Amino acid sequence: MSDSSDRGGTGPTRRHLLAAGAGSTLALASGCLQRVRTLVDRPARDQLSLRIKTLPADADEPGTRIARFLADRLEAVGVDAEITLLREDELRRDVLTKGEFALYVYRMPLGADPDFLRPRLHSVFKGESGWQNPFGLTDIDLDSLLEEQRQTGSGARRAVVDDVLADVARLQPFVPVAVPDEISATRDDRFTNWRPNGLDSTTGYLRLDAQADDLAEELVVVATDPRTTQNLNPIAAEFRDRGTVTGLVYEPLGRRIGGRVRPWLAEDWEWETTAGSTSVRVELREDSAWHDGEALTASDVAFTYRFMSDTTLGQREATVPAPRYRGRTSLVEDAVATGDTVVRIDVGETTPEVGARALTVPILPEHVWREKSSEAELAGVGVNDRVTEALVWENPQPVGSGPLAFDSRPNQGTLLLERNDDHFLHRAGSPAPTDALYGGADYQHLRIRVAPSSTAAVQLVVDDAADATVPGTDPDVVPQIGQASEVTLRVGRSPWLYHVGFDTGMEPLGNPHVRRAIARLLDKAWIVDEVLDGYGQPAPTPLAGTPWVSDALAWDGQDPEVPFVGSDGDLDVTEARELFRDIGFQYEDDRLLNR
Amino acid sequence: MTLVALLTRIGLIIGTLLGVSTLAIVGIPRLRRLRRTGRSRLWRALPYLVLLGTVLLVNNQTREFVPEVSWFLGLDITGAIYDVEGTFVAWVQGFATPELTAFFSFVYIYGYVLLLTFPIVAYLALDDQRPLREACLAYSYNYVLGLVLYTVFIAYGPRNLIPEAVDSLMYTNWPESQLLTSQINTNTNVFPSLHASLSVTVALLAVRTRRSYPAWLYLAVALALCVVTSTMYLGIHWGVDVLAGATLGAVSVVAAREVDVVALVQARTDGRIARRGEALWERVRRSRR
Repeated sequence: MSDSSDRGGTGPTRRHLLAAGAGSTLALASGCLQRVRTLVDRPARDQLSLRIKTLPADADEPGTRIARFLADRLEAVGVDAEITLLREDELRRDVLTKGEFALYVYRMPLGADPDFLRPRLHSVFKGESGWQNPFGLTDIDLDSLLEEQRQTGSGARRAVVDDVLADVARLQPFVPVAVPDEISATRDDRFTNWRPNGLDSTTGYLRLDAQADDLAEELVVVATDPRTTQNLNPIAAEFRDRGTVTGLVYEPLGRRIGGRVRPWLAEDWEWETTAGSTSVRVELREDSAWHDGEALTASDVAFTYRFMSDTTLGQREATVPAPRYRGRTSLVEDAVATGDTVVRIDVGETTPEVGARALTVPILPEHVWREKSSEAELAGVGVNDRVTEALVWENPQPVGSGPLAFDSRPNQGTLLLERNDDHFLHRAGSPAPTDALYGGADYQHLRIRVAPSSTAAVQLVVDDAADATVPGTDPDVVPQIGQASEVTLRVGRSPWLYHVGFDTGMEPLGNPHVRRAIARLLDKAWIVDEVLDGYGQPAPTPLAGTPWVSDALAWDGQDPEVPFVGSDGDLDVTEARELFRDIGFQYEDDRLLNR
Repeated sequence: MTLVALLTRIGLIIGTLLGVSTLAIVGIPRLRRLRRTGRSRLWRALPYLVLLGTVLLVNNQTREFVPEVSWFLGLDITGAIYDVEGTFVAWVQGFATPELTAFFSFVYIYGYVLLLTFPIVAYLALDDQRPLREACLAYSYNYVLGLVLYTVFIAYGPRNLIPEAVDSLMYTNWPESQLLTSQINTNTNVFPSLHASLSVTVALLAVRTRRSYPAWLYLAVALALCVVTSTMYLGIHWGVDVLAGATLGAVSVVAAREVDVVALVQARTDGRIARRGEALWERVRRSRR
C-alpha cells in the first residue's frame, strides 16, 4: 500500500485518498488486533500433563508398580500422565541434587527420632542436596512446629510432634504410601544369635556368635546393591543409604541400641543446660586409635563436626555441608576439644533427647579428611564450587576406628573387611556397650558379595555359599527361602517409606488441594496387599507404625486424612473427577484442563 | 549354576545343533571340498571376518561406556513407545503356557545363536564367496547401527515399565539366564531389538541363497519368526523395538549388497593393508618353523 504512494507521479488527491485508506485499514487492524489479543493471548487451556520419575522394575518392582498405579488413576481422571524410568543414581541426581522432577516414586530413609522430619521439610533446608526438603516446601507454621519439637522436653514434645504430623498430613508435600517389610535369609550352621531382622543394623553384625570354639574364619553376606562395594565414603549421599557396612569401619560417639543412644566411642557424657542453651561434655575412651595406627583424639571429633557442617572448612564464602547426616549435624552449633579426650558439643536450643542424635554421626580421622576440603576436580579442573572432594571421593581404602578394618577389594563386586584386634570390643576385660555385643566380631574376616538380583542372592545362601543376605524389600524371594529347610526367613519392619514426592514449586503441584486430590487416587491398602504381597503396612504419616502416631492419624482400614476414592484398587472415576472439579479444575472431552 | 557352567552347557548344545544342521543342510560333498579349499577360502574371507570381529570387540568394550553417554545425552523414549502400543506385549503373554515358555526361552538363546552361526559355516562351504562376504558385512552393519541407536535412545523393556501386566517369563523360570544376558547387554538397550534385526537379516540372506540351500530358507524363516516372537512373548522387547529391529535388519542387508566397506578400504589403500597383512603372516609362519 505505502509502496504505490511513495512512487509519486500521481495527484495529491489520490495520495490523500490512499493515505486515508491506509489509515482506516490500520485503525481497523489495530482494533481487530486488540480483539485477537483478548481472545488468544491468555494461557492456552491444554490438558494437564504430569511426568512421574521412578526406578525400573529390575531395580525396585514395588516402586515401579506404585508409579504405574498412580499413572493409571491419573489418566482415569483425565490427566496426561507418563512414567519416566531412571537408573538409581540418575533418579537420585534428579530428585535429590538438581530438583528436576514434577512427581517421583521412591523410598526415603526414616529416622528413629521424629526430628528427622526437620531436614526433610523445614524451609531453611530448601535447595540443599540430599534428603533435605527435596519438595521445596515453604510453610511458616510447619517450620515453627519443627523447631518447637526439638526445643520441647519429653512430656510436652509428644503434643508438638502430633501437630507436626497433622500439618504434614494436611499439606501432603509428599504422599506417604507404605512402609515395606525387610526380608532376608540367614543360615545357622556357622553363626547363631542373629537379630530377629537379621543384618539390619551394624550391631547385627557384631552380636553374632560363631558355632566353632575359636573365631570363625569368615562371615559371608550377599548384597544386591552394587553401591555397597563400589564406594566406601561414609558421607557420599549417592552411595550410602543406611551405611550399615561403613558403620562397621567408622564409629560414632554413641549408637542407638534398643531405642536409646548409648556411649560407643565415648566412655561417657554429661548434658548441661544453661540459659536455654544445651551442651554435652563427652569423654572419649582411652587408647582409641585409627586403623593406620594414629591416635584418635578429641580434635578428630571436633574436626568431624566442623567438617560435616562445611566440607570446605571455611575456605570459600558459601558453605558446602555434607548432605548425609545433615539433620544431625545441623543441630550442632559448636564442637570444641577441651582436652586430649574431652569434647564439648553445643547444640543450642535443643533438648538432650533430640541433641543425642548429633552424637550418632560417624567420626572421621582429621589427618585423612582435612585435604578433602578442596573443590572436587574433574581431570585436574574444578567444575562446581558447590561440591568438595569429600562428597565425591570414592575412599577406596577407608581408615576408620571400628571393629572391622578394610582388608581388600578382590573385585568390583566383593569387599573384604578384617577384624580389628585392637578395638575396645576385642580387648580382654573391656566391657561392651550391651551384653549381646560381648566379644565383638566372632570372625576374622567379613566378605561382602554383590549378586545381580534378590533371587540370585538368596540362591547363594541356599547353596551354602554365604551365611546371610543383606535385608531387602523384594517379597518375591519368600517362597524361595521357605523351601530351603536349613535357611531361616527373617521379616521385620524396614526403615524405608515408599512415597510420592511433589515439586511444590511447580504449578499446579504448589497447591496443597491438588496434592491432596492426587493422594486420594492411591489405594494404600491395596498396594500393601497386591504390590508388597502383604509384607508392609500402609502409611497415613511418615511415622506410621511407631509409637509417635496419635489416634487421629492411625490407619483404620483406610487413610484417615486422604482416603482412597474407590475400593479394592478400583477408582470411582465419577467421584474422583468431582474432587478435581471442586478444587477448580475444568474438563473438556474427558481431559482435565491445566489452569 | 555359575556363569561358566551355563556357558559350557550352551556351548555343548549349540555345538550339537550346529553340527547336525551342517551335516544335513550343507552335505558331505561340500564339506569334503571345504576341507581341501577351506584354508584359501578363509584367507580370502579374512578381511571380512576381521571386520566383524572388530565390530563385536568394540561393541563389547563399549558396553560399560555407552549407557553413561546415553544417560547424559540420550533421548528417553520408553513412555513414547508405551503410548504407541500400550499393553500389546501383555496381550501376547496372554497365550502363555509352560510349554510355550520353555520353547521360546530355548529359541531365544539357542535358536538365535544357531541362526547367527550357521550361515558363516554354510556360506564358507560355497564356491561363491559373495554370500559369506555379505553376511559378515550385514552382521557388522547391524551391530554398528544398533550401537548408534542404543547411544541415542534410552528405552526400558515392557517388564521394567509395566511389571504388573508383563512377566519376565524367562528370568522367572530360568534365573541363571539373567546372569548371561546382563553380561551381554544392559536393560536400557531395548530399542531396537538386535534379536529381531539379526534374525531378519539372516532370513533375508537365506532368501538370496535359496538356490544353494533351499532347506535353510525354510528353517531360517521359521526360526527367525520364532525368535522375533520370543522377544515379545518373554517380555523383553516392545512390539515397536521389533519393528525397528526388522527395519534395521532389512537396511543392513541392502547396505551389505550395495556398500562393501572392506573393498572400499582396500581400493583406497591400493591393497597396502592386505600386503602388510600377508607380510606379517609370512613372518609369523617363518618364525614358527
